[in-house]
Amino acid sequence: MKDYTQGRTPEMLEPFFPNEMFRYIIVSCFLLIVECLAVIFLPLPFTFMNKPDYVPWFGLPFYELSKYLQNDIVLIFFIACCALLLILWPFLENAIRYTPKNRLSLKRIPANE
Amino acid sequence: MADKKDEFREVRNKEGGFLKEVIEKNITRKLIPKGMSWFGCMGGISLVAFLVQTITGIFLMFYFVPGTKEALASIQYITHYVPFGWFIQRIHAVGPHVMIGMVIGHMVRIFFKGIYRHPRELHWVSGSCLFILTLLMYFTGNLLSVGNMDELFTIRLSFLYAVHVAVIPSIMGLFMGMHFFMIRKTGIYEPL
Repeated sequence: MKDYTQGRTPEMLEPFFPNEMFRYIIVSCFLLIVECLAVIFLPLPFTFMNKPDYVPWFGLPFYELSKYLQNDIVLIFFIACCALLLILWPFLENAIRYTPKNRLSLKRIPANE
Repeated sequence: MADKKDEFREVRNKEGGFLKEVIEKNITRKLIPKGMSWFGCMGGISLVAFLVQTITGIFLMFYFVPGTKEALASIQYITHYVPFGWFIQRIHAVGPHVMIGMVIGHMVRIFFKGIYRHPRELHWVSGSCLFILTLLMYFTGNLLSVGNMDELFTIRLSFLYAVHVAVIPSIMGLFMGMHFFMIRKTGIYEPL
């Protein structure tokens, strides 16, 4: 397991308990309050724009796309391709970075550098 | 008498030793880098939202009947006759929107900060699988609700119900285990 104390002075560290734990408790309480307020004040289905009730807010891009792509099979294929692109994105990005054309200009940049 | 007390104390310390060590190592004596962002909590909030959905979902399981005719009646029974049933049912209906919002926020932060890069590629893979499973949970749950049922809807509700309450949550549990284990292994994203 990762040891965060290596290479750090005590001033650069803080205890997980209670500092980080307290942070998580605060945001969890915030989440519960937001959910309770949403239950009390927002009517369901929540329609803030002109769209069918069965389309949720996060499905709007695909709903708009479905207006242009009339064929259901093509639409499903497109959504599956988007899902694959999302899952494999880090590897695709690496592949783009390491093509011979880009090899000289780009170096590998790890996340924590 | 004093000897017996000492003996009892010794046995208790020996038994509690392992658990005490685990708690001290992972919680009470664990040190983390200073200056963690509040936005870093979005992954944790998604987990809390998932737990809220699980708890409210278990409550609803006691009363919901997955039959084409009985589903409507059981939801009406929960809403009107079960004490605080309306509240639990609405929390379970609103919760996915909050959860999906938090997951999208978490993923956008990770994407734009480049945290998914080496050595955390598999974190991204497991996280995006969890996101897709969350969307599937939403759609199966939405189909279970009476608002979307009509004469043309031919998928058996009991099949959909089993997928919603057992199949997808089990797969999500596996992916979550993988996600959390990898985070423990490589560590959280550290500030510059």
